[in-house]
Amino acid sequence: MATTPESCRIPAGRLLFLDLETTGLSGGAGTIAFLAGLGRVVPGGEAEGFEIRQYLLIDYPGEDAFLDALLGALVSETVLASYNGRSFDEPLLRTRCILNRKHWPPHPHADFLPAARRLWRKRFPDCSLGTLEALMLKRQRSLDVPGARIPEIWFEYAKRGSHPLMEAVLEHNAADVESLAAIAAECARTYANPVDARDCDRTALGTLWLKLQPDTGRAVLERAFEEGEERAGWMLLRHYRRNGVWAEYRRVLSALSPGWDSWIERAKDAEHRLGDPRAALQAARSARVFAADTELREHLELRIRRLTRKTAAIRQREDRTSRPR
Amino acid sequence: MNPDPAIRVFERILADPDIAPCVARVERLPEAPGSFAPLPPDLDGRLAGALARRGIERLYTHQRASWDLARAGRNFVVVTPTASGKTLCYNLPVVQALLEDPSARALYLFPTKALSQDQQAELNEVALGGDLPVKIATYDGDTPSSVRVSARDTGRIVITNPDMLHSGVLPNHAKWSRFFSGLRYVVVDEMHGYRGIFGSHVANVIRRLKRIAAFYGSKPSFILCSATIGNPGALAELLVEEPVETVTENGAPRAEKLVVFYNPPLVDPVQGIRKSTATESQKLAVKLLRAGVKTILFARSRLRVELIAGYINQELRNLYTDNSGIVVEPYRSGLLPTERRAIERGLRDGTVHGVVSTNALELGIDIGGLDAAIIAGFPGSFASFWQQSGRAGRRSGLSAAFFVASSSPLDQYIVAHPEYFFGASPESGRVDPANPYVYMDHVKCAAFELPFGEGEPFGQDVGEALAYLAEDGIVRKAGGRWHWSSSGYPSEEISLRSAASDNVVIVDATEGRNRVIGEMDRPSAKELVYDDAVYIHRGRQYVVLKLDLENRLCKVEEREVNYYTDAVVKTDIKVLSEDARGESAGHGWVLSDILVRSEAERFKKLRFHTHENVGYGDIHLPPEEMQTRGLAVLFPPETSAGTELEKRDIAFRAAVLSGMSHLIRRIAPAFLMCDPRDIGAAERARDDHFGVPALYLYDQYPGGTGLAEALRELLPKVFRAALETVELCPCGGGCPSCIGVDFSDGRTALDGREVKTGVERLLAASA
Ligand SMILES: [Zn+2]
Repeated sequence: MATTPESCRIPAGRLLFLDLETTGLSGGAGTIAFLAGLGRVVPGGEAEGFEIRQYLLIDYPGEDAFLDALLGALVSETVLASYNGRSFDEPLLRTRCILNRKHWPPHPHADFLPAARRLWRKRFPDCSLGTLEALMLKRQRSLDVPGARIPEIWFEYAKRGSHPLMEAVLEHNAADVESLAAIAAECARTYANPVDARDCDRTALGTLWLKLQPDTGRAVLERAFEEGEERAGWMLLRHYRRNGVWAEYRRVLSALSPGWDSWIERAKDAEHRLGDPRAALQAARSARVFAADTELREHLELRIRRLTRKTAAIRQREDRTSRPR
Repeated sequence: MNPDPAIRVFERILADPDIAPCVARVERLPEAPGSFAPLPPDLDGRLAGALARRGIERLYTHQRASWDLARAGRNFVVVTPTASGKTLCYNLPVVQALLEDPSARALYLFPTKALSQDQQAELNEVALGGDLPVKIATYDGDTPSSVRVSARDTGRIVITNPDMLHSGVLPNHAKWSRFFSGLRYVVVDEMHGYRGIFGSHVANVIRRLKRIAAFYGSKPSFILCSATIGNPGALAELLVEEPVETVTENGAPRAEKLVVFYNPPLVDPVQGIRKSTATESQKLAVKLLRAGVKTILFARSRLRVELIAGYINQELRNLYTDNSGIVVEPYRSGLLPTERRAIERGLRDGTVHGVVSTNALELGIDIGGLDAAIIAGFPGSFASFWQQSGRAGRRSGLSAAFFVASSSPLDQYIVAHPEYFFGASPESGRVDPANPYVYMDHVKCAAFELPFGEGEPFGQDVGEALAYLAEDGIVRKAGGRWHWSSSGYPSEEISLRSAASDNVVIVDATEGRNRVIGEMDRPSAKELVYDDAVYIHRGRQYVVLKLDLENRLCKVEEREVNYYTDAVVKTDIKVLSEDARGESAGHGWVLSDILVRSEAERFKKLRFHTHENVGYGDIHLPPEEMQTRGLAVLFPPETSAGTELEKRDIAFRAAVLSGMSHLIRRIAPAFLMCDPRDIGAAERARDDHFGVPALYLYDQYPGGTGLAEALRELLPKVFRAALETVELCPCGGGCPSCIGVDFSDGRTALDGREVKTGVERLLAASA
């Protein structure tokens, strides 16, 4: 999947949600996947449901069969859906296949982590599955095993044939798959109704849409700007400038809150496009008021000096032309 | 070089009244013509074209011999001096093989990062000057992650170092599956660098490499290159564990060369103190540079490099206030890669006239030909010495190498016996891949990489090691295979270059400076930077405020003192098992597993220059314990050395043994090709275990690296060299250049002159 919005537009019915439990996080050849949770939406009209299948590796020698089962579940028209699976889960499975002399076929894969990051990075402390689950989906897990303990539980389980917490690991994995599906649905909803989407980084969303569908993107950004998102204003400003829509450009520019950057932008507009060096000089002087950085101040001094010369030249010219002979 | 013929310049410098009295010997190595062979008839036309563009129309005989062996699919090691066209020995057959088979791959291993960069540049320029379709990729710690993927997937020749192979490539071999499936050649350059504990690790990394290659159905041939050492074939076979042929005859022409032995003048004959190696080397360098001689100076540490380069530049500035134009650069580890490249380029194109370097430039980095090399202090092995001196010399014309001796016993021995240089066979490189600690580390890594099958060998039978790891739950046997069963990533915790992570950082806390000024491994720190110790750094004196072992931190404060400190280390040795013993007329010996427990309980304050004992201090640090391999040299009364000791009282016996130990510990490294810090020594006037006077010499690395065994064979030679060193030392009653100083044990004062004679007699009787 090339871009994030694309993965959000895949019909839920085609997605196969995948989450692995592994014996480590390094992803090297000594890390194995021992539990795979696969979730999918089961169509049925009113009775539409969500089905989770779990494949558990009982012990090392079963890996061959474990991988065969997983490969069998990947029907060709399904799209793998994961959370960070493109850099972790899928390469790990590929490695396991190579070690077991199997072929992991290239498969379309929608990783929802980048999509979620775009939308909610500004809203939540981080975009881990756990954080979004708790803060956005408002789900609570009653008795969850900490992820760090999971490898050791499986090592014990495989060695002794049982472990009191293995059941809890299975539940943990199933809950991850459910949350993944819920986050994917939330991503899809947000992308589908970008203008009305709540509780997300509307500016980021609008920026994305601007590339895909400029009308939608503009609408989302205008809405964000109205809500006071200064970044959205700048995004729009750049967009209108690039496309030469000067009326809209100046409307946004005048609405941007005062700062060295907006004043410089105004100075440039006055000097280069409106041909009004006096207004430009005024704007540059206003910019200087806000400039704290020395380098920036030096830059502004240069600009002011140049504009002063320019206006002085104009004044002289005006003087000459108005002087009575 | 200036219009003066080189010989006149060197003659003038050697006749300089400032220099001449210190020249112990000048050896003239005659020129030798090259011997050539035609290009192989089956050489790919594109390669032949690339060679022709560089003006190469025939090969040296050793290059051709290498080609023939490589084409026959044999493993071989090429032993060649610097600048003998060694890289063509492997580049030609490897690139040819890659041109013939588009799925073929090659791995080049270099001991350091800088070297692999240089190698890539050379390969690109040389072999690929004709746009050959062979992609070369460097894969090391500096490779940006964006480039790593393409290096893995499309690199036909991948250049890396053992550390990266160990921690980055092998544990992730599935990502390299295409590379390993096509692996045809493994090139191991600078093989002589793989000795001691590093070599023992690398031998095991190569085991792992072969195991992974076999998993992907390939069996690469090995091409190794080495500087001149005593046992290239044997070392190569230990490293790759397969038969390896040797190519030793060198077909490259050799120009005439002077080798000058320079001993700095004595300033205090009684104390045996000479002018410092640094000042004397710098003096020589300035004279050479002023005469227009392009010069490289090798110093033993980073700091010395900086110091000497600074002195030289200062001196040149004073001499030529406005127009000297002579540029001298320091070159050492810790410089940015771009800074290094700039210096290398400057040396090649002549804009840099002199360079002061650590052994970093001793390796095969191309810096073009220089006219003179100055070696400030013996670099630790003859192989290094010849590599460093080989930095001076072009295809034709005279060059010179100056060895400036330090006051260490070894340097003094060498400067007094130049014939040893030219006559003696070079040292042998030793590795012990079976060192139990090293071996166990790599069994872990290998189990992580691929489960071990029943009865699968790994060097030796690995069953016992796996059973041991299984007890700890690190591996588990299931379905007839041993599986890695831990969430860790073992290679991350295993350094191939000993315990680097265990270092103590030295911080200058003077007036809140809080600046890191050095680093030291933990066992050394306990013996050198204990509380109140004097620490000397860049010529400044510091006193240790606090050694905090838990946080690996040592705080020091700059303070002027007139003494230095020397820890009195008490070493307890317990013999765990005796493996072999023997006796000669002179002495007896026992090879054994030993437990070494060393503890510094107090230290002496010794006045600078006079080495007079001006006081004691206490050290409160926990002891260090280590199980290793040791050689106990025994002096029972029935041997002549034992008889010699019998005659004297116990205090005198102890002093003589301590002098002998000081000397042997410093002389032996030259024979063993190891660092002085690799050997420990402890003497016993009456040993608890053997009941006779004894001198223990042991390996400082847990489990041993084969030094004790090697030392046993070399013992007579070492005794003789030690004896000659004391006999020739001009000091009165012991000095740092021979048996050390201060033999009092705090109770009895002994006459140094008598002790010195005692050591001489003991050595004579032992040999
Ligand atoms: Zn002496």
